[in-house]
Amino acid sequence: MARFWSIYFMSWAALAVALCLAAPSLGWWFPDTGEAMSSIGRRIDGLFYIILWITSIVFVGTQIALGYVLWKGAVKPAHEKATYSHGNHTLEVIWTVIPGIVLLFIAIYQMDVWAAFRMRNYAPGEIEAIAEVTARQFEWRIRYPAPGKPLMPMPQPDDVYTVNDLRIPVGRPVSISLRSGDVQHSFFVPVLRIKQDALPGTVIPVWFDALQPGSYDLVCAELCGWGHYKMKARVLATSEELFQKWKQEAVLLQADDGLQSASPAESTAADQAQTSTP
Amino acid sequence: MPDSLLKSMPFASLAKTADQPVGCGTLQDSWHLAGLLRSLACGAMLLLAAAGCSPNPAVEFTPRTSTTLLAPNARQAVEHTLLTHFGTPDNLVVWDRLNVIDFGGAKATVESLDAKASSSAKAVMVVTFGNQSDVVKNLRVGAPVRWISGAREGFQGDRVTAFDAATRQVSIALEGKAGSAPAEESQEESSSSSKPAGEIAAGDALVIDDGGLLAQGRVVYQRNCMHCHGSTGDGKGPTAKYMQPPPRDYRDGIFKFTSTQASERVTRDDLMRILDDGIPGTYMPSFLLMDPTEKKAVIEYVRWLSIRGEMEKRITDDLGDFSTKDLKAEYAQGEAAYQAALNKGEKAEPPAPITPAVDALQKDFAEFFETDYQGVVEDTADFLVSAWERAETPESVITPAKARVPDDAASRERGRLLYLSDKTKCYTCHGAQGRGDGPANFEYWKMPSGDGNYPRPGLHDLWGNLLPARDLTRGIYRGGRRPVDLYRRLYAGIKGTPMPAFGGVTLTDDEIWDLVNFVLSVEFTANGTSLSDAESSIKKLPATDKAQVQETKIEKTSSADPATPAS
Amino acid sequence: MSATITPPAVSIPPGDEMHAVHHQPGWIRRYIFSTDHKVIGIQFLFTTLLMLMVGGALALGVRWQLAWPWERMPILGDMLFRTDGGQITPEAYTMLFTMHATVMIFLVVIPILAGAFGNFLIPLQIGAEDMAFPTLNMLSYWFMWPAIGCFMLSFAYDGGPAAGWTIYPVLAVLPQAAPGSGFAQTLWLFGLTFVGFSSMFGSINYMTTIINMRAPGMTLFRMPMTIWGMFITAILQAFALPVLTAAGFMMLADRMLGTTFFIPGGLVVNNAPATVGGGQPLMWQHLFWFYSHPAVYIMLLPAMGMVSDMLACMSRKPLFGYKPMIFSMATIAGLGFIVWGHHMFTSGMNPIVGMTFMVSTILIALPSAIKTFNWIGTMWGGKLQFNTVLLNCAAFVSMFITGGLSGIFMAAVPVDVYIHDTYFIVAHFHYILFGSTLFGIFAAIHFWFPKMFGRMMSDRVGQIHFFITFAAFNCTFFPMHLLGIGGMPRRYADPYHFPYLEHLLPLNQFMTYAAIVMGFAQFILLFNFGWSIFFGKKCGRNPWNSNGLEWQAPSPPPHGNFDVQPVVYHGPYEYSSPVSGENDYLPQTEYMPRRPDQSQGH
Repeated sequence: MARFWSIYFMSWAALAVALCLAAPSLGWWFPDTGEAMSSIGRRIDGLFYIILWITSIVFVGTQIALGYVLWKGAVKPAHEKATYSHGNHTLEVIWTVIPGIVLLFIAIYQMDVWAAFRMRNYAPGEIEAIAEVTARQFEWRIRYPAPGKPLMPMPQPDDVYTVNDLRIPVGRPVSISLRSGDVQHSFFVPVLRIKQDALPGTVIPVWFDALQPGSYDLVCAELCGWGHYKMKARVLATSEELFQKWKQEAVLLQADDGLQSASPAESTAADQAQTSTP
Repeated sequence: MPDSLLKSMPFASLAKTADQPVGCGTLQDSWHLAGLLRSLACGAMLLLAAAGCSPNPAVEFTPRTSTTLLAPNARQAVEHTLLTHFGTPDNLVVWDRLNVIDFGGAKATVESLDAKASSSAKAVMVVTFGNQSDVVKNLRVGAPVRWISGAREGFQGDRVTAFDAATRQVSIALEGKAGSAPAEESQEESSSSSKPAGEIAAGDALVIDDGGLLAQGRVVYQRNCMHCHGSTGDGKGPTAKYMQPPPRDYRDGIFKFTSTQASERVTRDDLMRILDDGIPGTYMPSFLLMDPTEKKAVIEYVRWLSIRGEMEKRITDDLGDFSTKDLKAEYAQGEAAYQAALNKGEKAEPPAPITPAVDALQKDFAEFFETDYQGVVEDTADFLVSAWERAETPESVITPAKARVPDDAASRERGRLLYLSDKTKCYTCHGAQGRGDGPANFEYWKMPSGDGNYPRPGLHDLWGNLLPARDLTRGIYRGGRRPVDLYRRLYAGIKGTPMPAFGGVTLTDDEIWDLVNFVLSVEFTANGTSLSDAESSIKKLPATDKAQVQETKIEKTSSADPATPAS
Repeated sequence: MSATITPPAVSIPPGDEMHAVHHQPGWIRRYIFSTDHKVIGIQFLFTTLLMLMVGGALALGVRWQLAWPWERMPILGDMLFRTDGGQITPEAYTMLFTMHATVMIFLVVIPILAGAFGNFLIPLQIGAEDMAFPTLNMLSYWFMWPAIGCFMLSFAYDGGPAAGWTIYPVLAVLPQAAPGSGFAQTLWLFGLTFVGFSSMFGSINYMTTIINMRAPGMTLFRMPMTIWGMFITAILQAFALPVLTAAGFMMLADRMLGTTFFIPGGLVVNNAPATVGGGQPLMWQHLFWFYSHPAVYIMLLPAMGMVSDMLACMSRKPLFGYKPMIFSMATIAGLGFIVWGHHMFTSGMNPIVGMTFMVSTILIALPSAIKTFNWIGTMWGGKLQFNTVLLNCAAFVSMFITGGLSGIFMAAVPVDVYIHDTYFIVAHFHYILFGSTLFGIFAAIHFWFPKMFGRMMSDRVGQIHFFITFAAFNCTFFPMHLLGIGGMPRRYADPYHFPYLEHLLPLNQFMTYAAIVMGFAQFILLFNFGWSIFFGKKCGRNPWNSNGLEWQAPSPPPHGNFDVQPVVYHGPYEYSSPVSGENDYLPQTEYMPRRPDQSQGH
């Protein structure tokens, strides 16, 4: 029975590793293609894989060590006594220093990504916000400045509004002003690897880019009430040209007085063209 | 209960093991183990059985209060009518009379019957479809078939077993023998089933996947909408009680934010717009990214629920003579008086029981049922079908006769004067500054039912919910912020609310546009954004200071005399 | 054991013998309002096991919804939502996971470690006859009940609190923000306060007892790891808890007195009048996590201590690196105070502060690694007794490794940005709180059960329970890592609204099946527990041949614990010592001559 148990412990670890190895091919990995669609997202993925490698090695090593000592205990002859030892200073030092070095490496290595993500690049002054995203129960209300104008902190008469539909130009870093209209929400675009809480009472600039045109899911990642799961929205990345064209169309649609309406059929066609590009 | 099960009941085995001397031997230990495992397994099975045997709750349509107050047989008749023509959420009925609803399914005609491949249980045929290409594309095996002409007309239960889109060849499993259709279906069906049913012939018309769209709508509705709007569409789902404003009650056939004339129903496009944009300022979220077919299906389902609800309301209202409401109220009054008297120690007679009166009502209704009831149902159905049909016609949609008046300072000023004039009396509800704090929000109003005043001061909507006038300074327009949306709000009012219709009579088109321009500007004047046309948003300004300045200005104006504003 | 060794004279303080003769109080004072630490400990144990079932049932409700969203939910749906076909509502779902966390954290894990095992073991293991403040101890148990009452009562109002156990403002502060933010939330906060009082009473008592009431010869570095775990936990609690209590009172004031500590102005929630105030919701997160991160260690360190004791005993081998274990535990506790910000990397806190918290968080992995290696080192070359206790302890180590390693992902700020508030974090903390702590607790229940009730639990049934629980646990929680990597956010009543999560449904269903198996497997434990109290094999004082002082007392120990005042001569881990002769253990009360070649020890 003792041997069975040591195998039992080994087998769970083996299964876990097997599952992780099989997961990407089963589709249980990063969403969509598995590849991040923003430049910072790719660096985050790189960091993720480095940590994954390190932790996997440690996981396998420690689980094998655990299984091994269990097995040794299981096969020990009945008359033999346990080794009498209170510890070993050298070993203690070794397994303090080596993890220390590895952890230090992880800590220092990631600083650069974090700095690039939040501190070094595209400070709010350097890049203009393309939209104000207001999270509220349970939708994202988005306000763009009129074509050719900067985003103002207060609503302007010629602003363009959408709901659950954030349009960004592809290929250049963009910034949004993230606000909350009621409770705390979180702006989470899994494929772009971006997440930022919308804090009530604070406007938070969030900057990111999309490397390829496409429609990316935008979800809420902070509990905001019963409809938390209903905040289904998208970030639609299109070429700069299409983005500007869409904005022009949106201005017309928004000024619809029932007579001179911009033809909606045309704009939906443009949408389809945009979504099907990737 | 079978003996073997009794023996394996957990307590039986427990009792046995308890008799055994408890010791430390291996043998006994393993015996305990066996008993323990057996009793655990049995316990788990019993638990599961108990959970499984309790009747599964089903989604239900709940009757209106006014229906439940009808005399018992009248209520039965109404509920039977609804059950026949609409079914239950789990068993929807396609009622042909409701041709305003797209129930889904593909209409087809039998082109030729493959006699060789057919048998008494299966028919193989080639059919011609109408032009519902997307339905044909989505045709699934197992879809129900309904015959609308020919020998099998009226039979239900036939199902598609195979379908080839290219050759349009369909195999249909025939349910039972002709003529053996259950008689307790609806009246129409039972009448048709009495005919000797014959063989399928070329030229027979049928509907494949009958009610498929409605059923899909039900699935979408139950997943996304039901917990607020309720299974019946009465706006009383379990979550509804936490919401301000409460979710819409579809059962009156009234939707607030429509593009139609004041007296018309809602259009499919309006509902689609509400689904896409949500209703800002309420808990109705945007379902922009929902699958378009799902959106279409759920809209049909909501329209169908609305028709069902209004059908019930109208029939029940027509049967008002058979309502026990007054009797019950009277009895309750008498009972209260009797109790009060008893409490005081006085002698009093208990009120007469209402049973005889209810019996009399029942008797009356029995007569009414024989003579007029079917007519009431028919008339209601006719009325509803024509009303919903009319809503989809272009004439019912409000289209401004004139283009929008240019949004300049003069127009806004004209609008402001209109806003503050006695012609529109906007300020009585929305307040002189547009903050939704007009005096009407603090007065007591009469209930439309004539039962005296509402218990709380303030404006109420048709459903009896407190409804403060919109605060225009927040820049939230529930029916949409396009000029045409506001135009329609002003032209036709907001249905089911005290917001009146100004179009056609009170205001001219130009005046409405002026008012629209003013209303759209209130948000910015109140929040301090300069509206001096062109360069408005370029200027960087500390918003708060400006807001105060503006506010004090308006305040002075309005406190002096709301009707004659200073320039 | 050899009689030739004469122990050196140890002076026993006069008056101590008198305490051995206690008068027996009446039934109520003996079993209900008892001041005896053992009875209180067992009361805590029963209560928390009951609550474990409640919390587990709530968890199954959550899993049910994730596997079969919007289908009939047995019991809950049948009872509350009949006209909707037993389909629960999203706010009922938020209530389910909020109360699952609340019950599991505040009514199970914290009280079972500190309350049940802390109470039972501290006086016994340090050779005291009771706690320093027995009445305070009684109060600490009885303050649990108003807390349980408040939490249970909160279900009755608007379907229960539904702002998550972290009760972030503004959601939890404004009654109009969520269905459960009404009176239910107020009751919840009262419950939290009562739990806080209970823990505070306990921690003061433990500190005082451990510092003042050790038996003669029981120096600090002869204390078992359990005591060290409890001691450090008590210190953590004493310093961290006031912050949470204060924050809780601030929130109560916001809710009831109209203050605005956490509410900024201008928010319009559910069409109520706009909020007025200049509060900062972020402040709640700082205050809350200042307690709740140390609370993670409050929920772990005692289990670490107990597992160290049990592993040494079941390996018949001294603990590997006794002092490094203590120091690493203290380091974890100390660092635990300066890492709270890692819960807030995406909260809008200054990113530079995030960098600091990242470094301190990564540092905390170091002492954790040392502990893991030392546990493996303890088993290395041991004569392992493959019984339920050892299996659960080994599971503790294995799960702690997994949970610890997934923590590294979270500590890396950029990766955390992606993983934060997804199922990855759910997997991580279940591996620590369930995988580690609860398996440690299972081991501890089996290990100290004979001392509590004088009878053994069935080892065979215990192994079956372990077999099922361990397999089902991993099947339930390991795939959660993959859900998290797939970007599935926490606390979603219906993740399948999103096309990119639709393919995760089968995985979720598999996990739910595993969770149901795991839930039912706990009946085996309860059955074994209940059965063995009455019908278990009787045992003597020291069924495990263990060294600790508690095994020198009768089983179960009488009021006053020891019939002979114990005197301690050495540390608790002298297993298989060459000087112990025939036996492979040497109780702490037996004299051990110092050997010149001894590398480490007292």
